[in-house]
Amino acid sequence: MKKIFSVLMMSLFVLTACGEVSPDGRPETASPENPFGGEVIRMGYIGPLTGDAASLGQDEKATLEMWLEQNPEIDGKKVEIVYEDGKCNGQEAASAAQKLIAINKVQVLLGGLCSGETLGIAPIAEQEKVLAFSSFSTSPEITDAGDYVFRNAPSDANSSTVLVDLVDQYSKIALISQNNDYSAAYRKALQDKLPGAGVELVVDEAFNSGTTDFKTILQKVKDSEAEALVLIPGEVSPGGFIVKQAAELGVELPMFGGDVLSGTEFFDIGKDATEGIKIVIMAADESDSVVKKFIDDFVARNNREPSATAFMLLNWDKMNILKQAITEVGYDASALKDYLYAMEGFEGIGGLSKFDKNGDVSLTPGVMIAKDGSFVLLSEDDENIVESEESEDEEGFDE
Amino acid sequence: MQILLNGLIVGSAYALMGVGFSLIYSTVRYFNLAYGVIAVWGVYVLLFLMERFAVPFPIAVFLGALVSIVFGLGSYVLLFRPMYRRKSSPLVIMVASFGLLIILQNFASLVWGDTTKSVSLSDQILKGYEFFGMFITANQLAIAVTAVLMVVLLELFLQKTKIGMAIRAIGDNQELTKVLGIKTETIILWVYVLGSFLSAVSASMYALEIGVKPTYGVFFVIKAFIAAIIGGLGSVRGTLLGGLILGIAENFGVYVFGGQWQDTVAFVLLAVVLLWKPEGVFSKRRLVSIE
Repeated sequence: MKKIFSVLMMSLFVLTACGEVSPDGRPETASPENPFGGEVIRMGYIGPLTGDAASLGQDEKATLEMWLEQNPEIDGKKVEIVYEDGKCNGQEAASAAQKLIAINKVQVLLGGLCSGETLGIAPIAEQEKVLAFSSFSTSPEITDAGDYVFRNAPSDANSSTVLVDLVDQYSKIALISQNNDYSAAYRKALQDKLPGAGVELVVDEAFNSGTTDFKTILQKVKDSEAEALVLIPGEVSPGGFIVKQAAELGVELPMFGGDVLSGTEFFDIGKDATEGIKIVIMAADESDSVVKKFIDDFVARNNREPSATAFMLLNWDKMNILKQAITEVGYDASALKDYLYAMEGFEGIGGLSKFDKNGDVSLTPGVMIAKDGSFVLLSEDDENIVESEESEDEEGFDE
Repeated sequence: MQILLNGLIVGSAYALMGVGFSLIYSTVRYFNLAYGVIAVWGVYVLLFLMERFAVPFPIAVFLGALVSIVFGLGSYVLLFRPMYRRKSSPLVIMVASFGLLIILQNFASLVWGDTTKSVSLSDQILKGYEFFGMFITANQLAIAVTAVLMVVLLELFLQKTKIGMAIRAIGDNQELTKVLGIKTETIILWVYVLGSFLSAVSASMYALEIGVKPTYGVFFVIKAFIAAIIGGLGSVRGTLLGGLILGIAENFGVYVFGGQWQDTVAFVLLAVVLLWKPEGVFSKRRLVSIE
């Protein structure tokens, strides 16, 4: 009896321990050819190259590679980027940062992508006096993450304000979020701001990473008096499953969400049920010729559309900001940090970037709507369509 | 009632998954942790056939399951059988199966990618049907019908065919069946065929709900494992009920305590069963220690 019991417990332990095993822990690039620095500007990238957020990480990597092809040198020095997989996870990102700083001797860490990654990197960057510069992490917690931590993606403190403005026409809403750094911070911001806007949270559910079956959570939403559903998953695929299963269960509420939903898997899983969902996101105006050129180049190079275009534009801007900074003050993290705080404002393709005393950017997110399998900027017409569809709603759409 | 229905349907997928796991265990007496990832490979083949050659879903499920059978038999013949013959302990074989799980999972991410891929019966999301105030979706219906069908076929196979009876006999007493002249070796191969087939079919059906990705192998084998232990390892009917109980408990857990407690409910259930009735709730046998 004892023996079988110990075998059972042992196997259980092995099974739970192996959770998410990812195939690729090794660096994307081999060890540095030039360990003494010299004429090479070497930066490190940390983002989810495998796992649930991999579609975003791979697009970010492709964007950086594209930039590098067009800007192989800064100030006559060769630029190199070493890519590491942060797996959308603070711990993995922290070890990647240690490796990049200790072995590859980088002065700048590009990333993380997920807020958890950036929060994992931040203390190391701070201690080692290395710049960490994210173009994707939006958690409000990053604001206080340290002097060396910058981001040109707007904080969710701004995003949640825009989202609250979007849903304040309803008196009762349901919120489904995930148990991770990004979602938890966003959820807390909504919990704080919604009562002030006169909106009551009648369902407030957080699911664990790896959850795929949301029918019972959705049943709770259905049983409640919620007039709208807000989705703040921390990864793309759960968002798709929620929307799909909601449609199957006949949950016909207007839906709103965070920027994570903009990954391509969302439409692959959610299909036609995604139509009309509005997300608060750093939005790219695809009618703009510069933006259009970026997308065309991206498609030509990678044979796929970028998944979260706006953030890819921010990555592009980040590289140009860094290029300008390095040209001005050289490749040294402390000098770059001082330069960025003092920078007057950089007009990039993602908008005007200027950093405040916390390393947060001045940009505000916009609203996009899902239409025929992709997110487009919300236009006046869409608002009218939404209003006529939701004819029971007496109030107009105020935004 | 709706929660009960959701639980029953998810539970029926767990149950099918668990039965295959349990059957394999009952004949070879070791835990095969690669069991779930072999099913995942079947689902990927199904998806490939549907997308590339527009093979209809039921046929694709069958063909995918055939690939899983090849993987299952391959794992036994090339890895487990040599170890088994060398009298390796069940613990050692289990560790080897864990290694195989990692290899097959990484191989799957290499070939098929890491992202979640959706498997669906149609290009549009189908709204469910309402009856007696409850909602059942097209996918849920497909899962439930397949599960019932598979269970009936399995019961007929185990009760009416010679091979089925031999499988049950080995489950009861392997030494005695050898004495009686039954070729245990052939029967174990049959069990691998059956187990791999059941796991691939249940994973394919469940994939309609949750899609597929390489790491699901771990998820599937955990559910199979818990269902089998709750119901009684080696007992087909017990495992079926174990799967249903697990599905229902998880769904009530989510409804009552909230989404983040789903896994906790499953493991608390497992711990309670292990403490109170380690031989399984529905097992008539008492446990004897394994060699």
